[in-house]
Amino acid sequence: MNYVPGTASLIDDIDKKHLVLLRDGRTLIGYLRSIDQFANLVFHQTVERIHVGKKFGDIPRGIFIVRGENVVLLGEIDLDKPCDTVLQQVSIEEILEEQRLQQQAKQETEKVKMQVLKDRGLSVPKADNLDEY
Amino acid sequence: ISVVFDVSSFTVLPPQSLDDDCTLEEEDDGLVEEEDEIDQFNDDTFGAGAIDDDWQEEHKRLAELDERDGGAEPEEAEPGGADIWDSSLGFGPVSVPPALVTHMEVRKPPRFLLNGQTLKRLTSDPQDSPLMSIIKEVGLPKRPLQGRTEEGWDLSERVPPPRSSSPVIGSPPVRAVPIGTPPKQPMSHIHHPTAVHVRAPVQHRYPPPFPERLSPNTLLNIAVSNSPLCRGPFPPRVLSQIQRAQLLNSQVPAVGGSFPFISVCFQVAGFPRGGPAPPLLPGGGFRPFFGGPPPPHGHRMGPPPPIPPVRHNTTHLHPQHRRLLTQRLQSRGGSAGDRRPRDPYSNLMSQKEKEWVTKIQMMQLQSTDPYLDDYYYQNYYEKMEKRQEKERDSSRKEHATKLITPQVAKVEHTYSRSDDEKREKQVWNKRRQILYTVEKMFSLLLEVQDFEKRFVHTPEEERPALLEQHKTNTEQLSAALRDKDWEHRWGAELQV
Repeated sequence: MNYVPGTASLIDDIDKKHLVLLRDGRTLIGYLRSIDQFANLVFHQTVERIHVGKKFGDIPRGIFIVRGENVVLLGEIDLDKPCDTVLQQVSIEEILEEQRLQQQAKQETEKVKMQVLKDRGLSVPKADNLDEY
Repeated sequence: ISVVFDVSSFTVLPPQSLDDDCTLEEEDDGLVEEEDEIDQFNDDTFGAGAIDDDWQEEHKRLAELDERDGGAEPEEAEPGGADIWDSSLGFGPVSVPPALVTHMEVRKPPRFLLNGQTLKRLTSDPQDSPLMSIIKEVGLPKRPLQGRTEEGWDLSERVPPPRSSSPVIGSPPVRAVPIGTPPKQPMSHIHHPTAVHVRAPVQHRYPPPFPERLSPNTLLNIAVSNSPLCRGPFPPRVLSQIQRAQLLNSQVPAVGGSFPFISVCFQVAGFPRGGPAPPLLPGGGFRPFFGGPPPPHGHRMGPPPPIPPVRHNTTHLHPQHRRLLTQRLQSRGGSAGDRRPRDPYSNLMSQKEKEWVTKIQMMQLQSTDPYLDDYYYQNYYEKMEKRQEKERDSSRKEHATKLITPQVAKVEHTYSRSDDEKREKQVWNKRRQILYTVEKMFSLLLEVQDFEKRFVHTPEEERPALLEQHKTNTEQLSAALRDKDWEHRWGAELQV
């Protein structure tokens, strides 16, 4: 029941399972319990899901309050839909390890890239302050 | 968290020790009573042993111990005695090392730990400890707090400061007291001038670093005001082992490290609402929170009454919209299709709260200029209107489509003017000339035809003149008709 027809509202999403992607890259899955006018979200039975390649791991987090500005996207999970995923769930330790390796590899390639650019006299500023633009 | 203290009733203590209370003995007689109270306070804080003369030696011993070991054995520090948790509130939210948070069990707190640590702190790092700086700033609270343990604590002392003063629109109604706090006389804290609200040193509400040094009181403060569990009086319970472990564990920052506090706070609070009393409300020192009557309403967000705004000064909500809303409000019956009745946590957000948020969203839809604000909302309603018109009256639909065409034709007409203008002008000039010639010939012809009639009617004198004119006309006419140029000049045009 949309309170505000002709608009988008999170009211109808309450008490449903959602997946939210945050600006820092984290993926959270949980039941959306409460919202406010800033789209701050309260998640219940939240699980942080880390994806590396074809594997994923879930870390239970309990209750999460997400500040609205940090949300990239949010979508309802259809629990009735059959789950035919190719992803393989692994233990938390394993996925964390995988993530660490992935981060490491990424940093290495980044380093090499920077070096190559530097050799050619180009410099790419770091993307730390994306928020400022 | 505000720091509230009544300067007149505190003594500022030098960093080294808490035993300045004794010095009051030497001062005015009027302070003798306070001295007793202070001793009693010491008693509760550090245990009954504090009253003994031995405590000074004990203190020295500890200090030496500290210097020797770098602060390893807190257990020995305990003079034994009363339950410090009962009186710890006198300190207000004091920062406590993380390890201590595990011991939130109230009945038998490991007092020695707290005492020892605190004592150690007070003695061993006099300058650095934030605790010390607080005490320096504020002094120790006075005894009167102690005497009210049995009666029940006045919750106003525990009140966090009012929320940020954003306009009503932007937030739930600003409450000086958190929503979960049971009602009580608002200004009663003034009558207890010894109330101390000590600001915990690293107490930020936002990340970064949420304090590891969470005092159990502040932890509960926040948990209580934000928890969905603050309904009704709960019998005080002690934290079970598991819960304590959870608390402890969750304080270790997990991956990413943000919101460690939240995890701490609410993992423990993860109980079904109808279930057993939340263990976050142990008795003893925290009893005061819920000694009073239950909170008047169970709202966590505490929204104002949910009347959809009907403003007539600005462009209101689209009338269709308002109609829809009133319809919906009236006909609200069962919920949406999939009920999922087994979800015990559903409807944590009450209807009022939903309406409150919706109200704010709708206020944002109101605008004076439909073309400037919310294009999609306006278009949605325009389309809806058209749809409804179509349904009602199908004949009018054709009119609607026809109406478009004249505009289109006009556009086309004005468009071709510039290109063919000159050519058209030439064509029209020639045509005009042709028409002129033809007219002239016809008028001549008419006169020739009318000649006989006129001849009869004119008097004899003028007859020859008329005859002459007739002759001229006939000649002109025949000449024009026989004009050879004519064919060349007008022939092609006439066929056009």
